[in-house]
Amino acid sequence: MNIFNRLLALVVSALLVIAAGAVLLVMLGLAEPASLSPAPWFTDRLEDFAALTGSDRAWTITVAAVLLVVGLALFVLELLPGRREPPRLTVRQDGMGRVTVDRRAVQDLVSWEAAQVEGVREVRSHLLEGRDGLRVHCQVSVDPETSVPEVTETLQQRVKTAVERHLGRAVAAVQVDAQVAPLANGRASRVR
Amino acid sequence: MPEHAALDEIVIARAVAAAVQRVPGVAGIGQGRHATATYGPNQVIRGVGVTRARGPLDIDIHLTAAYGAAVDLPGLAERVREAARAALDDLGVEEVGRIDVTVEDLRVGGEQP
Repeated sequence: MNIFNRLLALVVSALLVIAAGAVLLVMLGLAEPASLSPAPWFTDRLEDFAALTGSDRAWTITVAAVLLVVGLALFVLELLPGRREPPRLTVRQDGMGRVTVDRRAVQDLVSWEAAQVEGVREVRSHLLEGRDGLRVHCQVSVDPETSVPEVTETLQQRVKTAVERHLGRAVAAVQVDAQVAPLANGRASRVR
Repeated sequence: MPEHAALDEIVIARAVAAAVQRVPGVAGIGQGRHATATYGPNQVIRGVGVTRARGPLDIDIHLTAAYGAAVDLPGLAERVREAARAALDDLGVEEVGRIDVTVEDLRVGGEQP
């Protein structure tokens, strides 16, 4: 999400929290509409809510509480830095435009290269963009007869070479976690 | 949107798509996971988006690259942009803004890697 969209989401979530919070405070009798309102039109709206009774009141309190929670969650999530990775990796940006590669395509590339390594049965890969280059994390399931250090070293070299050659981006590290047991459910590629 | 503008854009998208598909190393366009297309009367050109949001024409190309030992994706993207620009020149399009290229998938032979 770009900065504009993130700011927009922050503003919308803040407004949601303020509005839902004000409605809840008024309906629960914790505050008077006039004391919460920045403008007369807002006082009128809050007084409409304060006048509700019975099931209308219960429903409104429930909806306001849900909106308050959603607004708070959205606000906090938008403030957390770097929690989401962009769906694409930028490999070039110049005056003519931008060249990007879908992250999943790169993960497929890593899986395909890993599949060429003898002894690898399943692969799951994950990419991170660091300041010093891409960081590739491979989780692999290997044959029990395989030498794990050999497979790991071969895999690291192969993946690093392939990603650097094809993407033109430096690979800072290839971390390999190898196990004999099958990988748990997730986006893993079975290669043998 | 006026009809003539939509017609212009579909013509441009078609020309760009044809040019891009001829670039060696391009396995296809508009076949990836995220749809980008230009819509015209009774036709759709997938893989090429054409917009005029900021005055000059912006082109967004989504392609599948053929995966092989010699594939250099930035180099491929550069050839794709050159092909697209040549196609736009042939059409007489003068104001071109960005030409963005997204490699959505990689394909080895007839398969994805």
